[in-house]
This record gives sequence, structure tokens and C-alpha cells, in this order.
Amino acid sequence: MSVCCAICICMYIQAQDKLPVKFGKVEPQDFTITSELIDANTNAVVVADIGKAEFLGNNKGWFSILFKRTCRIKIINNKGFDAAKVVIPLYSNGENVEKIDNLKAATYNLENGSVVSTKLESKEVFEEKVNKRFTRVKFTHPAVKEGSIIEFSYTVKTDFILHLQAWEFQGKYPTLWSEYEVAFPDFFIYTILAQGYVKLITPPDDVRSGHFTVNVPNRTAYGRDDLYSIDGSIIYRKWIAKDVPALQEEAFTSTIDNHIAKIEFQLSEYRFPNQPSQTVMSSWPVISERMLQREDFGAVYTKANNWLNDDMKQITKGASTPEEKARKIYGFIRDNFKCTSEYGIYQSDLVSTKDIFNKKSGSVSDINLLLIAMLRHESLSAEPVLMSLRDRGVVHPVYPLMDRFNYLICELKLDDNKYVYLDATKPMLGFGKLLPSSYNGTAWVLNQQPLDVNITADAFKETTNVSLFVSNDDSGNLVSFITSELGDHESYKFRRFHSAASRQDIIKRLSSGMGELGEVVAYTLDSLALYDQNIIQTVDFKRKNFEEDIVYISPMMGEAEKENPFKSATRYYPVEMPYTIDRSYSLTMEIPKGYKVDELPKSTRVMLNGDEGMFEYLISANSSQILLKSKILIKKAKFEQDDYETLRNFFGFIVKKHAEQIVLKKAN
Amino acid sequence: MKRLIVFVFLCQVLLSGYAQQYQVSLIPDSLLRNADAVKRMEEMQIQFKAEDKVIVKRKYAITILNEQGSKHAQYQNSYSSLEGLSDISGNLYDAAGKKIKSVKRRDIADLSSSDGFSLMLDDRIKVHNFNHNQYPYTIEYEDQQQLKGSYFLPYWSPVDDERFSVEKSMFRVEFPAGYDMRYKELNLTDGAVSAEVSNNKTLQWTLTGKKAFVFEPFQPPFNELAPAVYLGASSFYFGGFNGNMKTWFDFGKFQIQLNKGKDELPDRIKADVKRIVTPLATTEEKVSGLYAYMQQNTRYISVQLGIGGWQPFEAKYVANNRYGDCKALSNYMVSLLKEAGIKAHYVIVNAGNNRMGLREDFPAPYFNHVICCVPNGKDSIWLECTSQTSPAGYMGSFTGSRNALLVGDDGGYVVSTPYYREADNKQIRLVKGTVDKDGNLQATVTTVFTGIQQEEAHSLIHDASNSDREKYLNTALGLPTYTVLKHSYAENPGKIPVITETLELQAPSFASMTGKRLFIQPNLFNKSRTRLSSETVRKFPVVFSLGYTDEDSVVVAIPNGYTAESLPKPVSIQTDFAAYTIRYTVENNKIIMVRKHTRKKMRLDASAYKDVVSYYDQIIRADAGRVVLVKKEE
Repeated sequence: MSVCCAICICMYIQAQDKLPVKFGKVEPQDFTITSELIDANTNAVVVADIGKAEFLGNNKGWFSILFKRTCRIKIINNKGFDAAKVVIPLYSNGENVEKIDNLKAATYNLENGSVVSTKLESKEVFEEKVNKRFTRVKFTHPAVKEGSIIEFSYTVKTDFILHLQAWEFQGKYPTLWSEYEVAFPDFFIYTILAQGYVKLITPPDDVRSGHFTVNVPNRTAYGRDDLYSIDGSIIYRKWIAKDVPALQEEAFTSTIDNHIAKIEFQLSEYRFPNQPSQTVMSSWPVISERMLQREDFGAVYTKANNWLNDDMKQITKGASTPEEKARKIYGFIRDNFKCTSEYGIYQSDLVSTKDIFNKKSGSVSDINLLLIAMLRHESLSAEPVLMSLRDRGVVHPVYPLMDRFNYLICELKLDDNKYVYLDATKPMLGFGKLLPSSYNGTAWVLNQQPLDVNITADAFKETTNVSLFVSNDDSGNLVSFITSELGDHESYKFRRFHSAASRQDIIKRLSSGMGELGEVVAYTLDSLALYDQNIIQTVDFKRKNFEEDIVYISPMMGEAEKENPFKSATRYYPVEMPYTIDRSYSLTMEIPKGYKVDELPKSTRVMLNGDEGMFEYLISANSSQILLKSKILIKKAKFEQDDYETLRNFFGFIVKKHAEQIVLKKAN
Repeated sequence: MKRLIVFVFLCQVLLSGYAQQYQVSLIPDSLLRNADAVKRMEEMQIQFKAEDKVIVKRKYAITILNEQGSKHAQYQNSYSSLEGLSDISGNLYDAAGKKIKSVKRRDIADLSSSDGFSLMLDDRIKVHNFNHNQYPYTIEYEDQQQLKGSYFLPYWSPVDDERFSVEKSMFRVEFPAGYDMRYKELNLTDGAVSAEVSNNKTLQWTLTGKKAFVFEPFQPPFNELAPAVYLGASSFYFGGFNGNMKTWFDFGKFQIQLNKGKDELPDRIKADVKRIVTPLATTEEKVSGLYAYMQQNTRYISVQLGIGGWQPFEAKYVANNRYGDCKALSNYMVSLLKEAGIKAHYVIVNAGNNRMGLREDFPAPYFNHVICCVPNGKDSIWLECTSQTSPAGYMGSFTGSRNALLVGDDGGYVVSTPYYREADNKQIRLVKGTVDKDGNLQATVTTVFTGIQQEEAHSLIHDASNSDREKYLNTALGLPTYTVLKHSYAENPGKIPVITETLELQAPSFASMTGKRLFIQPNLFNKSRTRLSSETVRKFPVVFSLGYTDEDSVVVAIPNGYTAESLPKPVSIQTDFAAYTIRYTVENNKIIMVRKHTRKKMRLDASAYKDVVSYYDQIIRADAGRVVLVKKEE
């Protein structure tokens, strides 16, 4: 039994781990629940949620898992009624279908001191076929009111033993008792992963002998089925979490899945009696080798793909260096293909690479695998990179847990040992650039020697540079000229915006926050169609010069940080920002004729946590000019929850400083 | 008979003839202007074979001009136990009109439909998309639906969207000559062409060269702008029932049939009814008592299967399960009131802002909701039965201010739900605060919301969890950085419900300070954000769908030693559609701002648009008024 408990420290406390409820038997005193977790925010509380997974031999020549769940919830008020809507997803791959059995549910109400139970009728259970692969079994409890106790239990039989059902100890309601038991046959070795900030109790394993019968069906007309009998030990292992608070999503979270308390399993090895052990998951080299052989993965780009010959000549026409070729191929796909599914690591079922090329559409993996195939066709060194997007959660840094991966990009090695990462599925994305959603830490380059690469948000630097010049012309006008160099992501966003925007929309966006400078006279947008470069915007403004005796100017204009992005006063888990920040702004202002500076903000500089960030605001004036420089630097994207208050105060300070004003007075 | 064959033949020639005409270059410039997509052709044919058999054949082609138009490239149609969907085919053409691809059956997705709130629906959808990426291109689809009833007949609405033009679209309805097929034309210049061929009558409408229109702020609802023909059955069949909808009275009769015998209550519920109403004297009290009982003992769960989309579950079912949808709960409420000897009615309504709705002159089933009405002399009591928290008598923005169909004892009656006007929808706010010498603000904000303006607060009290409410209050007020320290609500339910919200908040560095000056924008919470462009010529009338009144008073104490250096001027604007005043003063170390804004629920001609632009420009500037205080030199 190889057990790896990644994050939590497991403890065993003998005395208190007896389940406090008896399912199906609700007594009047059970309606009174006291717990420190229940406060004015609590709409329902999970009293007990118990899961158990067991293995059994099936008649398809292999094993199935019987997963049983029993749950009791107390509904505290009508906002907790949603807890009485239960949805159970079932998966099917066409051949094997997950089946639900023994679905029971009941509601218990305390009426005049006695407990009245109402059972769910089977005709009130609905089965909704969502698509070819997923079905949802749905029901709602009858006779629910404020104060009801609801229970439900069901069994799901599944043949998908690779992913033994995971268990979440934490959810949107507080959970008083959550328990999961798995009976592992000793010939199946699972890797166990735990995460979260909740203490899990693990009683000592209970080992009993077990017996499995596997029926191997004979597919010929005459033969008989073969029955195999396997004896082995069964290891009963249990995890218990008690008094688990509800977890709620806050701003700057990649996904709550990164933080929720849960355990997950991945089959790693078979150790059948009298047979050498056989690795199922074990290591990246093994996985990689297998992936490279798959028709819907490695074969896509390791094949010669000679059918591409003619088209490739056209596509790479005029390219003299390998890098130019790569850029042409990347551009061809990006500009001509439509991405139909934002996820995937394999080529879709029932399509060939040629189909995808001709159809000019496909999933992320269809398109990026084609990109790799086309690059390789030109003898470029391109490899697939498996990753998970930020909203899917981080992948395990070591174990090849394949179901965590949901995205595929391409690593291209250029001549000078420089590596670039390519995603051809995003229109208008530059060569070698990725969207922030791809910056999710560990990713794996698959080839003969698979290698992990760290594509972290800390490495995504969003750099913006804005300069504003304000001067006076001879005919009594205030004329201004602003130049903005956008960062990678802002450039991408602006291009997307621009493609659907009217001239009016563009002017509105460019002049946002610039009201004090007057009307837009002209603007230019540089590098709009050069996706590899960042956009440079220039805008000319003009207005009648000041006439008032006293003039107040907000010198940061549209570049002011107006709101603190960290709104809530407290934070319960780390802050995950999409990228690091480097924002510079400078103002050079000619003082209008007849005015003098009456008041200037003070210059200042503050550091964030030593040198993790910096804010600088430097202002000076002489008789003819005002000069201002503001710089915000945040050098990392992830901050622990202990740093939250510092971060919030840092931004609070910036907001305050950016709101300060310059006062000009008419000189007498 | 021969003529019919010739006609069908011609029709086929017509259809096949289109395929060659998808070159984008053939689209007239006038149809490309302001358009993201152009409907090249459409033929929609309804064959009303019998009351239980209606065939709908549709073929259409749309040229997608750019990425924004690509939302029109997706084929989607629904089917259920009451209507079949078959013969889906389609093709993709490039800009030159050359066929590139055809629909393969395995590429058509078959999905369960979801309305976002129902537990179960039996509607399913078939979806296809070529996912082409080379603009412009043309998609062409064809399908056929078989309706097993004639309660709901399809409508023709060839303009799918804004920024969408139509080259040619045709709608044809064929029905037995003796059948009374009713129709309603909207925004059409050309009427129907009718013909009669061997006992079959046809009606045909054509729309050609319809230019794209562009969204305009405060424009009338889409269905007031788009051409359409709605059909209405006379006698019909539906899910095992027969009915007639020539008049609203007859329409109601059909619903009576569906509801019949569904009002029986279990004895324990009867006993509850008796216990509740016995001590109560007036009808109002009894209705409120039973409504509260219904609200406390049920919840809203939507299950729509077949005829169950129109027929309520019986009262007993609701009593036992303590849940139901709008039909079941309204029927249950009517049953409870009946048990108490109070006459109440099941009322069918089109809630929200959906297409069509009830037209007095054209009975047809464009409804999506059911409510309950208790006649009570002049003041009927209206009850929304899917809410556990709505006050008795309040309909609000969801079902108020519209016509609805009351199901009486003998038939249906068109009635009007309560109207809500600017005097009903108020927000009266008093802010009392103090700014300290560092610019931090401490304030108590008391707001009285009424009518439609209290709906958000109502939802914050009853639907949001405490933590969601805190999160909302801490982000929704439009101040840069602030914390709501305490919040509380007092409700005064009624026909026009009133909610009083009290917030205590802190806004660090609310006033910005530079050296000896203090800058304050006293209009903390009610800045107009409506900025309208006057660059283009207004085409449509201006529609203000909500009338409301806002009153804001802000009193902020400032640190000693400051005097006003700059104070915004008072502004007062009076128009036919709205009135606005704002006034800023500084006295006794206090900044005082008083703002009042009333806008009527009304409709203006397009020519009045420039006044609306100028009105909103003025108030956006007046609202941003800034008070500058300067410290007296020592």
C-alpha cells in the first residue's frame, strides 16, 4: 500500500471518532444541533456525509467499484432549501455505463414533538441525459421546510477503476462529520492525494482477507465463460474530518478547487498474486512513452504526414529561417482555424489530423497537435506540453495524474536553444505568448525524456508605460498628447475589443478618465495587426485653456488606481493574481500662462513586503513645468493569506495617493 | 390536383435555385450597412393538417459577415414529447457561394435543454455549428418539426437580431379551407397574399430588403421593432385535450378544463385553513394569513413534462411534497382560499420582458407564468405564489404593469395587474457623516426604498446569504475603498412594499487631501452614469420603461478650520419626462448636498432624443460636483 498524504498531517484520536448519527432513525433531539460553525450565515449544515468504496469482480473480466454515499443535512432556513436539490452525475463512455442503485431519500420534520418522515417517491426521481457521455440523476426532497432534516443515500457502480471516486470534506455548508472509507484490494495500488486546510483523522487500517470472482465472458459461439477466483487482503482505510467550515470563493482565486479539503486517488500499480507487479501510472517516462504511441496523441505528429507536403509549401513560402517558418505556420493556424472547445489533451474521437486541417476547426488539442505536426513536418523541434488551465486547478508537481490536465500547447525549440510556447487557438495572440489562464505552474513537455516546466504567473510580467504631455498653444488652447505602451495581456484584450468596436467605442475607451483634457482630436494605434508586438496608442486632446482663478487637476488622469482591488477585510486562503505588474506613468505639464503652482502633492515611495513590490510617486515643479512619475511594481503573483492585509494596505495607499490633486492659481 | 403538383414543382425549383446565389458579392450594399449577418433566404412553411398534426418546414441561409455575426451561424431547434424534429440538413458555402461542407449526422449534438432554474424539463435541443473561421461565409439549414397539437403555433420573425438584415424571407401557412386560422401582423408593410387550392387555403407573407437596425439607448422592446406574423389557432388539440382560443373567454375555458378537479385538499390542510381564518375578520386578513401559510409551507420547484408545462399538479401533491411550480402553487393557493370561502382566480401572465405577451385583440398562448388574484371590490389582491417572501398584493417588475388572463368560472377574462409609477418607486436617502482631518469618512446611510426600487433590497434580505449580502454591500456602493461596519433592514410589506436600509460605513481617504486643501465629492451614492451619444440620428422612439423618484440628502461634517474655496453651482432642470435639482452648500463646518431626480414611465418621439441627451449630460456633470475646502492660514 503506497500511500502519499501530500499536504495534511494525519492524526488519530481514538475517543471521538464514532459517527454521531444513525441514518434512517431521527429522534426529536436530533433536531437540536449545536456547533460553533453554525452562525447567522449558516443556511444548512451537513450533519454527516459518509462514503464508502469497495471493489468487486465483474462479469466483463475485470473489476468494478461500488461507491455508496449516505448523507444527512439539517436545513436551517429557506436559503438552505437548495441543499434539498440533489444532482448525481453518471458517466458513460459508450461501452461502460455507470449505474445508480438503491436511491433513497427522506425528509424528517418535527411536528408537535414527534418526528414525521416523508419518503421520496421513485416517480419524482428524474434522469436527464445531458449528452452522449453524461447523465444526471436529479431529485428534490419532499415536504422540506425550515428546520427539516433530510437524508439521502445511493450506490453507484462504476467500471472506471482508474479514478476511484474522490471525496470532498468541505462544501458550501459547514460539515460536522465527513467520512470516507475505501476498501483497497492489496493488488490495486492507488496514489492518494490530500489537500486543504482541514485536519484529517485516519484511524489505523483494518486488514481483512477478501475473495473476488471475475467472470471473463467468452465471445465465441460455443465456449463457456471463464471464472477466475482471486484471494487477497483488503485494506480498509478511513479518513474523517470533523467540524469543517464552509468554504467560499473570494476574489483573486484561480479556482476554489485548489483550496477545498479533499482526497483524490489515482491507480498506480497492479500486484496480482503470483504475478510480477505491473505499473499503471507510476512515472512520467512511462506515461509519456504510452502517450507518444497513441493514435490520438503522439502518432498525430510523429507520422510523416506527407499529405501536408503541398500545403506546407504554400504556407511557409518566403520563409528563410526556421523561426520564420514557425511564425508562418503559427500565423496560418491562428488566423484560419476556429477553436470549438477550450479544453482537451487528445485529438477528438472520430477525426483525423487531415480532417482537422480541412475543416479548419477543432478543440484546443486538435489544433495545437496539428500545429506540432506541421512544425515537425518542416523539421522543427516541437513537442506537446500538457497543462491545466488556472480554473481547473494546479496539477500535482510529481505524479502524472492525467485527469487534472485539460489543455495542450506546443513547445518549440529555436536555434539558439531558446524555447517558446505556442498556443495557436487564440485569435490575435502573438507568437510565443500565452493567455494568463495558461500560467498555472507545473506543465509537462512530453517526449522520450519528459520534463516539467514551470509556467507560473510570477513569470507573466504585465508592463505598461504611459506618458502624458500637456502644453499650451498660441491660440489659447490646452493641448495634450498621450502615449501608452500596453502590456502583453492588455494588448491582446485591446485587439479583441477593437475587432468589434466602432470608432465611437474606441474614442470612448481611449478618452476614459481623460475628461479634464478635453476632446479627442486624433489618435493612432500602432502594431494593431502585428500580434507579436505590443500596442502603442497615441491620443491628442484639445480644450480651451483654463480661465478659472483656481484650477484643480488630477494629475494621474485615467491612469489613477481608483479602487482597491482587495475589497474584503479578511482572507481565508492565498491570493492568486493572474500576473505580476509593472505600471509606469509620467506627466510633463507646461504650466498655463498666467498661472502658478499653488499646491503639489508630496513625493513618496513605499515598499511592499521588503522588495516584493514598490510604489513610487515623484513630483516636482519649477516656474514653467510640472513633472510627475508614478510607478507600481508587484513582483510576484501569489501572496499567502498572511500577506493579505499588507497587500490591501499597499493598494489602499496607492488609491489615496493617486487621488491627490495639483492646484494652480492665477498669478497676480 | 394537377395545379398543386405544378405548384410544388415550382417551389422546388425555387428552392434549388437559391443555392447558386450565395455569393456575398450579390448582397446589396444597403443590406451590408450596419450588419454583422444577412439572412439571404428563408422559407418557413406551416402545414396545418389537423388539430393534432402540424408540420413546420423551414429552410434558411444566413451570410455571416464577421466574428460578431458568428452567433447566427449556429443551428438550434428543440423537440419534446409534444413535438418531433427531423430531417436536419445543412451546408456551408464560402464567400464565392461555393459549397464547402455539409452537415453530417454525427456532428449534430443532442442535448438536454436547461432554463437555468427547472429541476426537470423534457425539452431537448439539437445543435449544429460548422465553426467556420473565414469571413464572410454562408450557412444554410433545413429541418422539419411535427407538432402533435395546435395550441402553440410557430411564429415568423425573420429579423433575428440587431445588426441583422434580411434579403428575402417568406412565410406560408397552409390549412383546410374551413379552418379559422387567425394571425397578427406586426411591423409589416406588405400584408398576406391568400390563395385557395382544392380545399386548402394558403396565406403567404414576404419580406425583402430589410435593412439592419442598430441598437439605440432607451429603444422600444425588440418585438415592437421587428416585423413578425403570429398565428393563433381557433379550435385546437393539445396533449389529450381539445379547446378553442378564438376569444380570450374560450382560451380561459380550456384552462378550466386542465385545472378541473385539481383543487382537493387533504383533511389536515383543511383543518389548518380553518384554524388560520377563524380568528380573522376581514377578507384582507384572511388572504394574508393563508398566503403566509402557503409561503411558509412550500417552496418553488419547477418540473415541466409534456402537458405538465401547462397543467398544474393537484393541490394534494403540493400539500404532500411542500413544493410546486408557479401553476401548482397558484392552484394550491386558489384551493386554500376556496376552502376558506374566498373566491380567487388562477391568472396566466407573461412575466419578465419576454417577446409578445398578452394582446387583447389576439388570443394566443404567449405566457410563461401563473399568479393568483383575489377579487376584493375595487382593490383586487394579487399574489405571487412562487415566492416565500413577497408581500401579499405586490407584483412589481416581474408581473406588474401589464395585461394578464384571469381564469374565471366560465371562461377567461383579460385583466390588468397593478401599475407602478414614479411616485411608487422611490429611493429616499439620508447620509450623515463626518470627514476627519485625514480625509476618512464615517457615515450612517439611511435609505427608504419603495415599490420596484425596493426589489433589490428585498432580494438582499431574502435571497442572499449573510456573507453574500456583506460582500455585495461592500462592493456595490461605488466608493473607492470602504467597509460597511453594520447593516440592518426594516420591512414594511404591503401593496407598495417599503424597506428601510441602514448602513454604517467607513471610507478611508474618502476626501482627497493635498497640502492645505481637502477635495470632496459630496454625491456619494447616486451619480448618474447615463452618458448618451448624440452623434447618430435617432431612429426609434425613446422608451422609459421604469418611472422612479430619487431623493438624496448628504450632510457631512468637516474638520475645523476649513473654508470653502470652490463650490459647485446649483442645477435645476425641468423637462416633460424628468426633473432634476441639486444644490451644494457649506455652513457651520458642514457640507450639505440635496439632490432630487424624478423620471416618468413614458414614451417620447425620436425627435425628443436630443433633449434626453442634453438632460443626462447636464446631470452627469452636476452629480460629479466637487467641493474644495482650504485650511485657513494660521
